[in-house]
Amino acid sequence: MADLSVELGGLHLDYPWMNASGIFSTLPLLEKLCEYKTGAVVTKTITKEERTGHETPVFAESGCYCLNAVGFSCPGMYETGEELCDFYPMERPLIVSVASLTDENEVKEIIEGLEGSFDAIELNVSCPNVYKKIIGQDAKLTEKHTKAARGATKKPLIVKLTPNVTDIGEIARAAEYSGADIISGINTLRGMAIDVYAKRPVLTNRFGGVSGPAIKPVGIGCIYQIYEAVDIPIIGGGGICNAMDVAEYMMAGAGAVFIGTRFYGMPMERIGNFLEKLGNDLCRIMEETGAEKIEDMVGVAHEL
Amino acid sequence: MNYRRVCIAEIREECRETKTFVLDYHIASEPGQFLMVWIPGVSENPISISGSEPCTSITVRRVGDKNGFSHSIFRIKEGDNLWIRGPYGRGFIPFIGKDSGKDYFMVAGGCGAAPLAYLSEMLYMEHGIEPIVLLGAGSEDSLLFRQRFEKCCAELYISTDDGSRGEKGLVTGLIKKHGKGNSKFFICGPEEMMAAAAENAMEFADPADIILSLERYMKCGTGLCGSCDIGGYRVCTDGPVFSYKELEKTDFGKMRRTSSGKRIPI
Repeated sequence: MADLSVELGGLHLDYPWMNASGIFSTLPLLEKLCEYKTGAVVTKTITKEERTGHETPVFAESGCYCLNAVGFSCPGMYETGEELCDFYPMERPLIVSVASLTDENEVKEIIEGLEGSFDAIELNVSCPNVYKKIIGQDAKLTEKHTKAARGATKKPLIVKLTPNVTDIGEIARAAEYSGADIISGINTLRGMAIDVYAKRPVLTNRFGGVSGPAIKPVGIGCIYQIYEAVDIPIIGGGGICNAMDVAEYMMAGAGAVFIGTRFYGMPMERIGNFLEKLGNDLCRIMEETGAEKIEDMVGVAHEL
Repeated sequence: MNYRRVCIAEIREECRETKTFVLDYHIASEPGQFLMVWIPGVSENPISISGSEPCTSITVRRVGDKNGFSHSIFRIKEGDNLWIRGPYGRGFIPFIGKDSGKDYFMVAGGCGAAPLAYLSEMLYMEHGIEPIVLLGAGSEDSLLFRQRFEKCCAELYISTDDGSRGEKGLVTGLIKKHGKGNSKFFICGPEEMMAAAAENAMEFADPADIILSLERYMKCGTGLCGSCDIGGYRVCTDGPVFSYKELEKTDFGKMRRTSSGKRIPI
């Protein structure tokens, strides 16, 4: 059996994967997920104020993608902070996702308000559904928000990037320069679905974020580009369905991955079985490709 | 799956403020599963399937905001369209079988009769099981699906809050009166009623044989977003049907989450 554990920017993961932020939004669900083979668990993004999110429909689906515009529903930092206190520490590293809807000072305020009830922070500068302009589309803004987050915690800081940019390498460099320990990506791609008979966009928010198998090549391309741009580790994801996809992300440069839409329709037990099989399959791929540990695979597609 | 545009073939006035919308289409489903129903320009809501022979139907009670979902669906006429996706969730079927000799009780409060009428008909037609039905409502004019239950049950007992028909009082009281040892209970209704009914049923059944169909605020309906969490289970995908045993140590009967995810008392 190959060794699946990884050390990543100050985090130790028993398995090189985790849930994508926004999937399984509550702490009781993440606690349940900890019972299964997952390297870490990631919370839904925490905002300062309570938000109900967008009106339904916030979700649309097709065979090869999902489209969502939940719109940062969150009980707010105080409510969530209290719940975090009850649950932290957890059986697996707990990564808390945060985002400011105003300026970088809010980032600092939220992180400090959580009073250390986390193992790492994932700074979400990339939600396509709530901003007039996505922070992660602007290197200067990304820098400001990353610096503010860096100033608020000494624990590992992950910055999650958007693929909706011209040059994701430039944004990754800005995050690295501003103190990020890890780069994560990709967040969903901005998109839309129109119902032909209803003659209108399906989502009430009209636009949403595309996830699922359809976006995997975009994700692989972005991770490849980020890997060449920065020296810090990367958590990759977007459309991962199986161990082959995980290996592909790793060879592009990801030291670990996140999985989201693949859990579509899976009862909890099946998620456990899926993760079990993912581990076995990844070990087999590692044997086939001559990798003894995860880092033997990371970035190998660059050594041409 | 994408939305399917369906035509409303028939609308039935069931009882006070309650209508059944029969689609022009049969969806392979099991009792307890639900559809996400979209009215363009209004909203999308999860609705339990109330029947499926020969065409699938949903039953809605009109409540709340005039611009809300239930008021809007009441303005729909026969021949109009609805948009649906699903069916989703774990229904009652995994809890049926391997228990011959047990009496099956249906305990329905208000609109909770919808999935239970569907289940009773299926049990009767496909398994030859005639359940004992305990049907409750506020008053006689809001009793739902009395005739449907009558056609497939062994016994039917009714309670109303105001005593206008059957026993005066809550349907939970009927469990104490008519319950039998070694039974299986299927319960659906408002959550306080289900919590009380499950407690009363404990006298006659193992918690694994007390089966409940739950409701929570839902967004995606497919297990991804987690909005419908009830303490480590997602109602949309792990449920909506659960055994009372599974619900130990969860928020059942106590707390629910709002659209922001905030936990509040039921």
